[in-house]
Amino acid sequence: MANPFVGMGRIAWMEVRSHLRSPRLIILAALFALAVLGAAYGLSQPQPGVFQNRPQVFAHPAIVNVSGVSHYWAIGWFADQYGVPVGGQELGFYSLEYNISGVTEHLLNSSTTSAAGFASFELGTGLPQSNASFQIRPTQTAGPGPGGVYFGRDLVNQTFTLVQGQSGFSTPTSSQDLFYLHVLALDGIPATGADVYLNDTLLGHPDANGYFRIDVTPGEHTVRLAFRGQNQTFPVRGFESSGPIFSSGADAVLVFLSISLMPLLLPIVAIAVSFDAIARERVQGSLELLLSRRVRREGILVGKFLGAFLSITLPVIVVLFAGLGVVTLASGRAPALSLAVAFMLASLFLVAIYVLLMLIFSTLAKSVGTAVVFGVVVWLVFNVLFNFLAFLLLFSSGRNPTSRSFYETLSLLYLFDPNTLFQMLISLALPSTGSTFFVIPSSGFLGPAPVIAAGVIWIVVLFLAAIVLFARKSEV
Amino acid sequence: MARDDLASAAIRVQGLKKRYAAFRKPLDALLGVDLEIARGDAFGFLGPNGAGKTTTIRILATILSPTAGSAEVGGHDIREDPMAVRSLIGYMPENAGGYPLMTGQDNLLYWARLQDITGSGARERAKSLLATVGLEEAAGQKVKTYSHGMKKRLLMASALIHDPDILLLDEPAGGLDPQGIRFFRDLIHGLRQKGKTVFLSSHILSEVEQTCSTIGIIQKGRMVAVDRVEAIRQRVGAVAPARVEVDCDPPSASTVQLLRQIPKVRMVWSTPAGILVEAEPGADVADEITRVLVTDHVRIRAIRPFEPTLEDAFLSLLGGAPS
Repeated sequence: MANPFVGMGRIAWMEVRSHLRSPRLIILAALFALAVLGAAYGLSQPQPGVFQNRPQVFAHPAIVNVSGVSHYWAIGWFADQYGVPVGGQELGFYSLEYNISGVTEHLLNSSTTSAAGFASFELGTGLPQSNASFQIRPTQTAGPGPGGVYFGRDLVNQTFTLVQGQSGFSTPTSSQDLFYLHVLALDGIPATGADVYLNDTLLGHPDANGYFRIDVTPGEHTVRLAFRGQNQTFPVRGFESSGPIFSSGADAVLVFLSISLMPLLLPIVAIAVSFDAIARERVQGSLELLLSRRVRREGILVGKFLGAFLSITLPVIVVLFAGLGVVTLASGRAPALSLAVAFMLASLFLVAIYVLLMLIFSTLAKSVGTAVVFGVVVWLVFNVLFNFLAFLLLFSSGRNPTSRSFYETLSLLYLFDPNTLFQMLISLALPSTGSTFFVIPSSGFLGPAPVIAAGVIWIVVLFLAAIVLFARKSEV
Repeated sequence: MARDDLASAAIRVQGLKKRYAAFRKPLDALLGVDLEIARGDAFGFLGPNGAGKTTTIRILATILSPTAGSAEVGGHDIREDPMAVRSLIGYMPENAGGYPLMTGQDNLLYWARLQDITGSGARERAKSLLATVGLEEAAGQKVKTYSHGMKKRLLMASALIHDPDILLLDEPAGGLDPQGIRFFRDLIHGLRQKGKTVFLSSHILSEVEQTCSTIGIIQKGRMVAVDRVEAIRQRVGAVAPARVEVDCDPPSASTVQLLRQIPKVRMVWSTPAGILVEAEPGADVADEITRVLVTDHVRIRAIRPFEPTLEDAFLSLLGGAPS
């Protein structure tokens, strides 16, 4: 059987040569390098914000009876969300005055936290007015947010005061949803004798500082706190894993690059290099010459693909390796090998998809101008429109956006979006635990087989479509 | 048809049809073209714009597939064995260019590699062809800096890079200055002397007349005539008006009246050099014209019967009047 790809190698070599010499690719590669290396370095730095476990003020009111007289106090406990106290921190006690021009703070007192993280402030013997507002926060301007202290009329009837919260945390290798309580008896002493129940199962008691943490599993739960005859319940929701989440470290940077930068930049590079692969030949007349030479149409198309693909992947691989190096140096730890390999392979997959798409549209384009429009439209469809249309479709079908079937269907739809498929392919190399913050579309609902199969089908179908279309439409 | 004739045909086209698909109105570019061109012949392919010349030549170059009919080039069917056809032909399109960002020499080397000519053989061949087409000095320049004429020369060199037996040239001298036209004419003469078959599509009738031994005229997708150039002229001569050009002093109105009364004379026009007389096809009126002018004492400097030109033949066969 005759070789259907006669001429493929020579055309590919010619394409690589001309692309690597073209200012277009050189400029794109430089911009790509700048973006990736800059992001790799920047994201490898410690990041402020909710994704990090930073200390905060747990602020409580307290009533201490001395010789029959009630003394009112504000108690500040400075600790991180895992309950690790921070001593030696100066906390300020502020009253807040609301007026027409906003809020005015008055520093009433300041105190340094003990080794156990506590600082206390006395207000006096009279119950503050119920509309009075107080807060405790570090006296430095920059720092964690304040904790409010409230003296309601019903406070005197309580046996404890409570600060509670829920956070999603991540580590370079795992993630967790947690629910925490900080409980003090009404006199400001940690309520170590309190009982904490999860779905009516006793979990334990607060620690010596009054802190108790629950790692929440996915689903609806009820947490109950019982202390000295009083109970308080809290509905707590653990979220479905949406994929592995990292807040810091080399893996986190790779995941973030996969979510934010790569689906944006790689298609741009691939489209900008290959959008006029066929249209340019047609317009400058060389396609006519090419078709009359000893090459087959399949050879021309595959040669064009290989030429553009290799020309793009060569600088992309160099930049990605350099990016991994930057991540490793800046975060002090190399990313997981499986993640790095998945990141590389998925990037090549994404480049191949967009080059094939561009070959198809370039074959259809009769002019370079039309080819440019096709390139922009393809980028917009998969970077902007697809998500919008997928959600529109699901909402219009009447599915409940909190139901599992909604996300199962969405995962199936995402198989038709190369950008999300790229992220799903990377997610295959990650642990399956997740949290509520970074959201990387995972293969969780589908499993690895459909995701890999979708990747293979994308490549095969686009290749066949490109070859058949070129054979039909290459008549100049 | 004798077996020898079959073997000697470089190009054979039978019932060739081509329909361009279109959403609303498909276009029938060829409606059944028949052609046969002998090996070593130079065939001039004439026709008005849109007649189907370029479509035919592209089908022969295996760029387009015909809708119906068959075509053989060098004995190979264009559909069944296009790779063999591509080895035999050198195709020079009308409006193509090379790769503008590559040098002329690199363009040639690329086309050589695609014809399986590599290494030092390709470089020598490219160098020699660049010299042949007069681009030796511009060989290292990027093609985007070439003039129209230089690009045409480079295209010719590209077509010749693998020393093909059959050349398909679509308007090789289109848009060129007289020097360029002459260059291509000489080049094609040289190729004929080497025994190459030349299929030349052109609008420049004088170029075809001087270069080709056989011509074919196509109109609206159908061949109107295919014959030797002389035979075409004779056919035209039998049907075209006979004309006589006379260089003389301006004749008086009465002399012109007498000329018009000569049997078979249709029209008499004044020209800057004298007069032009048109008579019925095949009529020999030169002697009678001389007699009338001499009788009226009009001084004659020269008298020339007009031979029908290829242009006359072209226009006559396409239904237009000779100029």
